[in-house]
Amino acid sequence: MIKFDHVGLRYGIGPEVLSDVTFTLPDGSFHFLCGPSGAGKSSLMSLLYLGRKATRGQIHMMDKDTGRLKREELAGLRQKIGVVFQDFRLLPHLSAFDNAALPLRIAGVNEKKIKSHVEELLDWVGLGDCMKRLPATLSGGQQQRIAIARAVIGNPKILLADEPTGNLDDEIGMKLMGLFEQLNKMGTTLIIATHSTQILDRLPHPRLILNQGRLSIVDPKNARESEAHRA
Amino acid sequence: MLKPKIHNHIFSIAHRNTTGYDIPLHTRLGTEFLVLLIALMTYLLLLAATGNAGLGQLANKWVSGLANTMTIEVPASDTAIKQALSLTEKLQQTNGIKTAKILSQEDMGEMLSPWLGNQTAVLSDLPLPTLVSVEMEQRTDQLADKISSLVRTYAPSAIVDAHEDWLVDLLKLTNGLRLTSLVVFTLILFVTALVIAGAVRSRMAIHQRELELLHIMGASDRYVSVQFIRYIFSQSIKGIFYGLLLGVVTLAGFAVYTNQTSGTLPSVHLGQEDFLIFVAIPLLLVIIGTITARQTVLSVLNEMP
Repeated sequence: MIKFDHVGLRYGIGPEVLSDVTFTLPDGSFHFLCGPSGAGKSSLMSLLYLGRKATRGQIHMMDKDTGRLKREELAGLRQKIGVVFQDFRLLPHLSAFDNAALPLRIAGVNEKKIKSHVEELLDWVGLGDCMKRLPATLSGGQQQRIAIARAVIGNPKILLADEPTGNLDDEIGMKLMGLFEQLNKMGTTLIIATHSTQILDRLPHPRLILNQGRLSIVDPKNARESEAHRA
Repeated sequence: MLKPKIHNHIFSIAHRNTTGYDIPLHTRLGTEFLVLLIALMTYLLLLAATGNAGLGQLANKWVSGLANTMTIEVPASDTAIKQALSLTEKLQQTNGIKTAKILSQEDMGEMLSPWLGNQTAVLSDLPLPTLVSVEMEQRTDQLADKISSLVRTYAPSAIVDAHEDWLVDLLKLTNGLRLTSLVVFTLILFVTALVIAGAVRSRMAIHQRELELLHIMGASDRYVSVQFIRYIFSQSIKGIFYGLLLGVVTLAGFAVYTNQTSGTLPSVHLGQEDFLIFVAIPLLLVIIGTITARQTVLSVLNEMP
């Protein structure tokens, strides 16, 4: 479960970029994160992947109050969160294989398991023949697929993706969404930031809509807009 | 059982990126600068430490040479030789005295040669005192008192020079120099730690994005710090090697040069145990390097959420 309780975020002494954000996402849910540029999507994502601390309010992830966790416990929690960045953030000196293997190495998985997992996943995303290539020698779409492979390799409980289909053609984009659906069915909680109307139209999952730092939830299934689980 | 283990090991090497660094610490410019600085620090540490040890050996040589000797000066008079002979005879019979002898004209000539040259003939015309050189087996207060007592009995006007003032001044000088070299040694170590901390901080600033990524992916502080420790360790080893090489060449040159002197100055040598310096300095630098790297990384990471 992900629970935000009156969360606010500001940078330095500037104004709040997220204001009084309150919502609860149950385990295994699938949400899209939408909103205009500058609405605070990246800031909300950074709170979700524990890259920042909220300036006020409480954040509970996987039944743990993140504000009370020790550094080692936070690191352990982050290992259960997969992130796909819009700019991929691949390490340029590492091969496709090593980039995808990074979360497993951080988690201390042995090399034999890493080999089988990474090869299988890279094959699945269509990069089986590019494993030894450096990111700079791959196309944008291929790089994005490595970033996705890296995010899902550790079988995360929560998967966050920022515009994951931005550089993919429609076919691969929908195939990727199929993978996300599959992961969701296996119990992974998903939050995907996207502007793609094609995806939003095809997949009727609830939407977290950010506007000027404030959040609301829209569920297209019943077309009901509500202030999400406001206390 | 062994075969799969070997296979896994080979596989892990073959598939791991060639450097083993998740953060590309080895790829940026400035790596050579750190090696150069560590080489310089190693070189300076080696000179400071060997200088200290050499001074220690020199002081020991001087102390052991003078500590067990005394010179008794019988002022020139008609009875000086007679007094000196009786005193020498009694001293030779005293327990704890190794040798007691009157310095010959040749010995005196040699001592005065810096002022008089080789003109020993003039010595007989000068009112020189008769000198008795005494060498003790082991200097003790009782033995010194016994010698003084014999001097008072057999040569009452004689003066006893136990070399104490000279010895004390000499030790003060060498101890002062050794203390200075120790301070220099400590300062170099301190500067080395500062240099390494600076290098690590600068690398962390350069690789901020990669660090953030690892942090977000759940890398523990230990996981990140180990990479920096490995990097500093490898750079230190290279720097230490070059520094030691340069230091050994310098010391060998110094040894060759000082061996060519006329012998009026005592030669400086290292004792057997002093050669531990060549092991201790690299070890010390590696320990300081890794501890500094670790602490610096942890303090910077601590600023991350």
